[in-house]
Amino acid sequence: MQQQVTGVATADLVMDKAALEDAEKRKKRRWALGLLGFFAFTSIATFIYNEYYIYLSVYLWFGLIYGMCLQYGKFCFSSAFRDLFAIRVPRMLVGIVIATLLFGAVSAPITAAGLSTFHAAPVSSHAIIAGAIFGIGMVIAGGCASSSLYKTGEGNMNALIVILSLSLTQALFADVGGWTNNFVPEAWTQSALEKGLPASITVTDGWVDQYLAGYVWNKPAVTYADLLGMTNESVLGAFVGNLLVGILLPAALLLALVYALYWRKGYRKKQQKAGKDVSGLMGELAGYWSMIIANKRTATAGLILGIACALQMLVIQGLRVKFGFKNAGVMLERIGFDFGLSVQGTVFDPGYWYVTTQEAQWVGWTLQKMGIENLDNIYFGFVNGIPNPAINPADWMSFALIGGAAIIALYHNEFKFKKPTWETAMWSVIGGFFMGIGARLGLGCNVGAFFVRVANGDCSGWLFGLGMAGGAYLGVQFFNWWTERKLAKEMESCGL
Amino acid sequence: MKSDLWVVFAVTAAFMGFLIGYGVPPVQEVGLLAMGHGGAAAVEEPADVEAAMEQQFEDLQNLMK
Repeated sequence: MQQQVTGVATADLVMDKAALEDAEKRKKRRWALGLLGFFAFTSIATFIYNEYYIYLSVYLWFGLIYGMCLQYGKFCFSSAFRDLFAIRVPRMLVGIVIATLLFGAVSAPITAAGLSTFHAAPVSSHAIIAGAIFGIGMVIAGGCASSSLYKTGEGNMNALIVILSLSLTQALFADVGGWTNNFVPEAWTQSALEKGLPASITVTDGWVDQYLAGYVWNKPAVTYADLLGMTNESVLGAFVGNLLVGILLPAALLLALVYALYWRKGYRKKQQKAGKDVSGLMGELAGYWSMIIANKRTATAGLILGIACALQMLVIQGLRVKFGFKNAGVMLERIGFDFGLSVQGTVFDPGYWYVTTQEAQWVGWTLQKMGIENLDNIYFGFVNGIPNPAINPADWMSFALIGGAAIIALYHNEFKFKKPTWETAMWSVIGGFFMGIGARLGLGCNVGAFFVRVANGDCSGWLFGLGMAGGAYLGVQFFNWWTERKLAKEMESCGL
Repeated sequence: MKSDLWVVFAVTAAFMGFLIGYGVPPVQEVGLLAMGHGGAAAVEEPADVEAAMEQQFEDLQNLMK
């Protein structure tokens, strides 16, 4: 009798728990729909108010898709390198390389049609150094620039700290002058002065200013098509030069290297155990293929990301033609927002997926409002501007990216508010700092300086990636050393 | 309950469809959608549009100086 009562009580408890979980899931889904409704309302209301706002809505909806894809595919460069170097698991890295390849395949026809909004970046060793600093930072922070955004959407407050640190570092680094001028080579200063920049830009006061105008701008901005003597906006240039030579071949080689070093041994062991023949070229090819399809989720997300990135370029280009401007700065002026435009009347308006500059911009805007002059440097004052974040196109994209990630996380019951500890917050701040420095030196992050550049055949993309891999390796080594040291200290204090 | 997610995809797809429908026709109208020609060689108009935009930027820059 007692056993029966206990059994009924346990069953009730289980049912109550299930009902509670179900209610919690319903609540999360309502939040997700609420977020979606907010974005839909914003788009419709602003469009009714003024037609030009559709330009911002393009950034918003593509940002939302990027967030959904990143969260679904768990698209994280930091995890990719950490898994590879720390535990020898290449799945995420392979997924990212495949995603980059797929993005390249979608971008090629857009480039061939002359509709790409992409511009190649200057190529030199600075990309490797910048990538290395960024790579160290992202491993220390526990997330890259893009994954910090989607993880913030999952409720991870450490990721939010990374974003804040990354944003603040960039804004301050881009403007720092004074004593840092002592570290500028004379040749950079002279070369920067020769550029004839407007008087409002104090080009000789600022390390980054002189680095940009005196060094980076002197380097050639070339694609693989350019190197081969082809035009980017041609079928041959876009498909053979940029896609085949610039992406497919290096990616295939990189994957072959990863296969040989990290996948082959485990795969062959598993197959031989199952009594399967893995000898000869066919055996190697089967192993190579098994590695490529090991992370379907990231690759699928990458394919959708690629299609979305290319479509965004097409739609943005269409709207620029329709409204008759080349940069959103003109549009902002037309709708009455002229504060924070660069001296050229421009704002940051990449026309494709980008992460770090808009993060620096909102800090730049805040600092400017607090009375700290920010428009006298090249980064803000000559190129990107510091428009109000509420009407900054790229900020709409980042905000919606976090929202898109939150929507998918809420639906998959993966949204959880994660409070940082003092230690994790410290790593987030330090990691974000290095990422901020690396992003400004490399003119972009893992997305803008690697993912988008490689996919569009820019020669500097792989250089940044090479540096990022090296930096991530150093970051992993540092963390191993730190963890072992911490463990040893704890054991010592326990008298073991 | 699970089918709720399709609401998200349907709303997103509807907005995307609208934005693509709104943004792509202008590039077709000026003949920029011409594979392999980089757009410019397709028709005469884009060159004029380009020149007008350059002029607009120059004027803007002069104003800012």
